[in-house]
Amino acid sequence: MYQFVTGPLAWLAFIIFFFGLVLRIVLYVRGLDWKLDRVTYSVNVSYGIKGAIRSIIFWIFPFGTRSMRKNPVFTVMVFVFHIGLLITPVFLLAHNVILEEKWGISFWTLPETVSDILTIAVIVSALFLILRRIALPEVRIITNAYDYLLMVISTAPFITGFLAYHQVSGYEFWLILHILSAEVMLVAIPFTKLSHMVLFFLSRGQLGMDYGIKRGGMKGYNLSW
Amino acid sequence: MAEGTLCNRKMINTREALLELLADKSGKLYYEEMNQLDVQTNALAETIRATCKSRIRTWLEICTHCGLCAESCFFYLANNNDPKQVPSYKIQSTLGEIVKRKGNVDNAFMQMTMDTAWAKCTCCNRCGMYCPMGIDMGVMFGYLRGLCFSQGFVPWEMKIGSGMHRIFRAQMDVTVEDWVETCDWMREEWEDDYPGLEIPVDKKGADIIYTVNAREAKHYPEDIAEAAVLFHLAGENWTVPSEGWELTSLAMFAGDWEACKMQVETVYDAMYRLNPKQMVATECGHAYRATVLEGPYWAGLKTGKPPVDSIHYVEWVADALRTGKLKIDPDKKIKEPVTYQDSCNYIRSGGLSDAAREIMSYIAEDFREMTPNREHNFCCGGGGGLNGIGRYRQERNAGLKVKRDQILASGAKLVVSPCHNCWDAIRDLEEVYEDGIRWSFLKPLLLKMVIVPEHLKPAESEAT
Amino acid sequence: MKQLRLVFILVIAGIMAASIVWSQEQENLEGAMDLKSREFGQHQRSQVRFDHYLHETIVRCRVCHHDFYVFSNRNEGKGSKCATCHKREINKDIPIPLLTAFHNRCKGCHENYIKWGRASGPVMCGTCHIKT
Repeated sequence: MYQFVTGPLAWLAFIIFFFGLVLRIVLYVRGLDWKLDRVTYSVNVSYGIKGAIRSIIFWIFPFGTRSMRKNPVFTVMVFVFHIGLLITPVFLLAHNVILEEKWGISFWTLPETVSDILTIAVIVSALFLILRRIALPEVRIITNAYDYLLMVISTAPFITGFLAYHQVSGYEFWLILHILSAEVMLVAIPFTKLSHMVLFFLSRGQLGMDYGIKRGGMKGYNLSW
Repeated sequence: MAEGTLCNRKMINTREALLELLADKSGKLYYEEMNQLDVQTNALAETIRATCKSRIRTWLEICTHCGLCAESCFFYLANNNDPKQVPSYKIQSTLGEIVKRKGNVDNAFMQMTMDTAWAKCTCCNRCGMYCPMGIDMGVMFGYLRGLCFSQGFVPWEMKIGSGMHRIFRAQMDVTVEDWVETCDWMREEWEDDYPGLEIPVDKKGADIIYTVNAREAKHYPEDIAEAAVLFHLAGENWTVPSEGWELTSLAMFAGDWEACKMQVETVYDAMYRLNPKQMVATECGHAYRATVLEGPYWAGLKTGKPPVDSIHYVEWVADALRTGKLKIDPDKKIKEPVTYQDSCNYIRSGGLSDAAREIMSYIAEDFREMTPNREHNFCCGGGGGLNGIGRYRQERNAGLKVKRDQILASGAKLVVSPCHNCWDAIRDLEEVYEDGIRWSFLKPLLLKMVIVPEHLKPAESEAT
Repeated sequence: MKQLRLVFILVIAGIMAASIVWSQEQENLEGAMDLKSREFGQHQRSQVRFDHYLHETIVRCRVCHHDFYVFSNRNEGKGSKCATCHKREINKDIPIPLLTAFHNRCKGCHENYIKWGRASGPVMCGTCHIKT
C-alpha cells in the first residue's frame, strides 16, 4: 500500500497537479478578449504590466490593502493559513529527505518544532475560517457545502500528517491516509476553486491591468488598493 | 415565443415605437407584459457561450465566498447589513446561476435578475477594490445587464433611454437643430454680460471640442452658457460639434451594447471631422466613462483611446486654475465648510481624484474630505441609471443613507458634485431627508469667484 | 500445607518464566544497536534501533561496511565509522551525506527487497524513527 501511494499514485497526482495548473493558466490567458473585457492587453503593455504588478504586490502582503486593514483578524488568520499551507509541505524535513532520495533534489528545511507549530497554526486558522463561515451572516449566505469540502480537502493532509508525525496509535494508517489526502488535494487543485493557487495571480493581474490601462493608469494615477 | 407589444426583445429604432412606449405612463402595461415574456433559453445560452469568457467565468468560479465584499457595498450598509445585499451573493445568485444553468432560466428568474441588476447594484465597482481575488462584481453586473437587455428584461426607462440613443444619438429627444439653437440662444442671452462671448459650432481645428450631457441641452441650458463663459474668460479656442455633441450613454446603463457603439461613434466622427487637439467632457461621470474609457472598445479602436486626447471637465478646470488661465478672486473663495463628491465613474474608474483636490485647493478655504474618499468613496446612491428608474425609487432612497451619513460626518453643508448622477442623487437625498444640504456643479461656483479680465468686461453704459 | 506448596510452586514457576523472558530480551538487546552519530549534533528524529544480528544473517557485512578492513571494530574500536567519511553536508570527495547514506542503506535496501517481492523491513518514517 505504502509503495503504491508513494509510487505510481504520487506520480499521477503530481502530473495531474502540474499539467492541470499549466492548462488552467493557458486557458485563462487564451480566454482573455480585449474587446469583451474592454482592456487593451497587448497595446498598452507597459501600463498593463505595471498595473498587474501593483495589484498583486499590494494584495500579497498582509495589510497591504484597505480591505485587509479593515478586517485585521481575518487577514492574520488567512495569511497564517496560507503561509502554513505553502511553507510546511515544501520545507518539511521528512518530505525533503524523500525528495532527496527519489529525485536528488531538496530545499532548505525547517526545524521539526517549527513545522509542528505551522501545522497546528494551519489547523487552528482553518477552524477559525470555518467558524467564521457559520458565525457571520454575510459569509453564511454565500457559503455552501462545496466550501466546507474544500476546507476539508486542504486541511486533511495537515491533520493526518500531524497525527502520523506524533505517532498516535495506528501510525501506518495515518501515514497512508496523510499521503492519500495530500494526493487528493493535489489532484483537486486544478479542478476546483483551489485553482486560485495560480488564478489568484492571473485574476489580480487582470484587474490590475484594467486599472493600469483603462481606469486611470494611463493618466498616471496609481490606485491605492 | 410570447412577446408583448411594448415589452419585447425588439430594439426601439423608430420614433413611433418610442412614442408608444413613452405613452405607457410609468411603464404600467410594459411591466404587466413582462410577466408574459418568454425567455429564449437557446439564444441566452449562445450569447453566454460567445461572450462569457475566461475573465468572468474565472471570477464566478474562484470566488472563495469570504464575504469581504459585503462592507464595500453601500447597499449592504444602507440596508442594515442585509446578507442578501452581499455583492458576491447578488452576482452568484443571478449571473452565476444563469451561467451554471446554461441559460435555462424562466421568467420569474429573469425578473428577479433584472431587479437585482438595476436596483441592487449601481456598477460603482467599489467591491472590486475590496476582493482579494480581484473579482469586480460591478463589471459582471454590467455584463448581466446586457444579458437581461437581450432578453427584453430591462426597466422601462432603460428601454426608452436606449431607444433615444438609437434614434436621436442622445439620451433625450434633442435633435441636432435643437442643440444648435440652444447654443445660439444661450449666446444671445449671455453675450450682453460677456461681450464677445461665442459658442462656435463645428469650428475645424480648434484646440478644444466641448461635449455635453443632453440634460444640459434640454433642461439646464445655462450650464452650456456657463461653460462658454469660462472658456471665453480663459481665452480658449474651442468649439462644439453640431453632431456628436452628446457624451452620455443610457445605453450603457441598459446593457444595449449596439446602441453604445452607435452613440460613441457619432462623437468620434465629430472628432475626425473637426480635428480638434483635445476633447473636454462636461461635468458628468458616466458620460466620461462611456465615451472616453469604454467607448473606444465598443467602437473597436485598438489603442483603447478616443481618436483625440479626451479629458474630463475637472482636468480642464484644474489646469486652467494652475496655469492662471482662470484666476480666482481670493475674497470670493468658498468660506464655509465644503466637501467633494467623488464620482465613481471618473474618480474610481478614471483616476482623476488629484485634479478634484487641486481644484478645491484653489476655490475653497475649508475643504472637508468625506470618509472614505477618492477611489474608495461610496457611490452617491443613484449611479448606474438607478436615479431614473421609477420602479426602484424605494430601493434608491434607502441606498442614499450612506452618502447622507458621509456628508453629515464631514461637517459640510455644501457638496461640490461635478457629476449629473451624483448631483441628482444628492438633490433627492435632501428632498427625502431634509438636512439642509446644498449641492452644486463646478461651473456656477467658478463663475461666482472668477476674476473677469478688464478687456472682457462689459462697457460701462450707465454713468452713476 | 498442600495449599502452601501450590503457592510455592507457582512463585518458582513465575520467577523462571520471567527469567526466560528476561534472558530473551537480553539476547535481543545484545544484537540491537541505536544508530546515532555526533556528526548530526542534536538528532531531529528519534534514534533508530537497528537489529545487527538479524541483518548479519541476511546480508553480507560489506553491503554496509564497504570499507570492511578499516572499520572500527576490526581495529580495536579505533578504525573508521560511517561519519568518518560521510559528513552532514556533501563535500567534493564524498558526494553522499551521512543522512542519505543511512537512509540508502536501510530504507533503500528495504525498498529493493519489496521490489523483488521478498520479505523486507520497514520503509515508513515512523516505523524506524519510533517516538518514545
